[in-house]
Amino acid sequence: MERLGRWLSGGALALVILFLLLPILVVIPVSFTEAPVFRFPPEGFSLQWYEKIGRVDGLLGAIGLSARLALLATVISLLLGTLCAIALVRGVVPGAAAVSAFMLSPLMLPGLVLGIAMLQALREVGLRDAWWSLLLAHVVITLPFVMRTVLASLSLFDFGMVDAARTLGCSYPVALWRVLVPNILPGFVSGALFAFIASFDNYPVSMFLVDVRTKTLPIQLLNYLEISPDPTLAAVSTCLIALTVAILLLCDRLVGLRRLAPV
Amino acid sequence: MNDQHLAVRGASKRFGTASVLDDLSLAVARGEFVSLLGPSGCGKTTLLRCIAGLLRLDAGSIAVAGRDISALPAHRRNVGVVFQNYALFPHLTVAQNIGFGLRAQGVRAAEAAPRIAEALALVRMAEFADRPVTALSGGQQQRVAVARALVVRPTLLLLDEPFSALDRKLRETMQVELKHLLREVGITAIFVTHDQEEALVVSDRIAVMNAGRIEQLADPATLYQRPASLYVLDFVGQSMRLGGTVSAAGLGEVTVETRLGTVRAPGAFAPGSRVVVAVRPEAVTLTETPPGGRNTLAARVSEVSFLGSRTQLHLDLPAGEDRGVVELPRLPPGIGPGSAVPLAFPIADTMVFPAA
Ligand SMILES: Nc1ncnc2c1ncn2[C@@H]1O[C@H](COP(=O)(O)OP(=O)(O)O)[C@@H](O)[C@H]1O
Ligand SMILES: [Mg+2]
Repeated sequence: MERLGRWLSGGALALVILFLLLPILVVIPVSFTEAPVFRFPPEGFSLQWYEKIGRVDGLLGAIGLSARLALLATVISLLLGTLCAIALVRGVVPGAAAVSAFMLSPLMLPGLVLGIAMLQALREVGLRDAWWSLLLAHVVITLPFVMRTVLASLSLFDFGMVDAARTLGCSYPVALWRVLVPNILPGFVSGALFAFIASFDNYPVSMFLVDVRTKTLPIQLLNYLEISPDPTLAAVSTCLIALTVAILLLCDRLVGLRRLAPV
Repeated sequence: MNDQHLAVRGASKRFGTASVLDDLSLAVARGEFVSLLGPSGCGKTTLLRCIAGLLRLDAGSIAVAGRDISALPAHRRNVGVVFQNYALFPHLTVAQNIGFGLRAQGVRAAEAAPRIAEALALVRMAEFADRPVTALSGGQQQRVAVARALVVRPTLLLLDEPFSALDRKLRETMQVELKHLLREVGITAIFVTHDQEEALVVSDRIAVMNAGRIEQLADPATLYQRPASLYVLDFVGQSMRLGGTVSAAGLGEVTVETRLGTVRAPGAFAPGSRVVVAVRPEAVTLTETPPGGRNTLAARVSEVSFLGSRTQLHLDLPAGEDRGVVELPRLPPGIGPGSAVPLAFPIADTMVFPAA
């Protein structure tokens, strides 16, 4: 009985890993194919689809836009989120539990609802510019990711350490920097990572806020797929996979991958 | 005491509507160890945090070595603190923890290294220099916390219940060890504790705190033999105490009628006053024919506790303001729960307080 259970669970794990990994493993070889169609196994070897990334109208621009958007939204969320989390944890806010639940709520809200709500609200206050609308919306999207991990790290953090640093000669901001920041660094890094990815591949919210000249990468990719479904998409995907792996390796070097798992 | 090193004057602090420090004054001489002794919640930690600059006083002033530091932020006061839970930095090694303050004060690495080594040697932690602090035992963490506070050469060291996280056996060793170490360094120190035995062990003088005020500041012997109030009497050591009414007064002596009999004590109260008379347990002897100058009472034993070097008798008294603990070097034969005992104690050792 016990053996059977072990076999079953082991088998399920293998199956899930296979299904998760297989599409990714298919995309990489397909991106190097010579054939003009999305087919596996690939035929021959070429880098033509990578070259084409630069020639497809608007694709490079969309990559740049999405990267800038994700980076800026993440940085703003890190600053804002950390300050908000400190206020919530230090008990200066009445009803801290309700406030933090509210600030984490965009995580649970369907993206479509958030997108429509943002569109209405921003138009209502007269903001029509796509870039600023996107930035605001993406801060709303990324903030809970940062808040979640920073709140978890801060709830384990002993603010007595900040007091200790102050009595040893550090001003309050310096004490935060030298004691608080290193101790919640894993929370920062994993929060930032999730925030960046959430912004970079967001579709449902961005969909409502883009205009003809300002399109984020997921939206541009889907548009392109409808017009010409060739292996260029596989090439873009492969680049994104490489980028993700690189970031993960970097984070591993910085704080250790095990400490990155969100609490 | 003209060599005042720390002078707290008229310190007041409220949190919302709760007054935590109430016009409190305290003077500590250079090189002296003073304990702040009081029950949980009486404001000890708050007073320490105010002296360290982690909290601002609402009123009053704090001066160290003649200089008013009330307006300085914590990082410019140079007051060392050993926190109750030590608050070591878990992301740093033992040596880095100790070097933290030197770095914060801009001491160059070449100059800091020998000072860190010296501090490590002082607390006998040299072989642990490169260990993470999370891998240390409670006693070792305390030593690191002390070294970290001392290495920057503070003008004053504050210790907030530094032994409360240690088990009993280790606590007793560390109390003597730390007292010796701080004496060697020659620093002025304030220990916070709610444990009266600990206060007696570690300090030159003890400040008994009650609800944000200092009830009495005195050396341990005075505190024990001449408590200034019922509160101090109860907080430091044990006693036999009996409520009563003054029946006669004169020539610096009062006669008090108590439940167990008539007691005379040095003091000045008007006849008719409600008072409490008290005597320390070891001043009491069991005898029916005492020498002169003694009070005699008859009581009944409710419980006997054998404590090794001495034996305690708990007297059968109704609940209320009366409390009866008597201590004898050894238990006379035939005495146990229920025995009637004749008590005698010197009039000179009998204390009298206004009833609460
Ligand atoms: N930051 C604070 N805000 C509100 N009340 C506080 C604060 N710090 C302490 N108190 C209150 O002040 C009183 C004294 O606290 P404290 O100084 O920590 O006592 P002790 O150290 O003697 O146990 C307690 O009743 C406590 O609840
Ligand atoms: Mg306390």
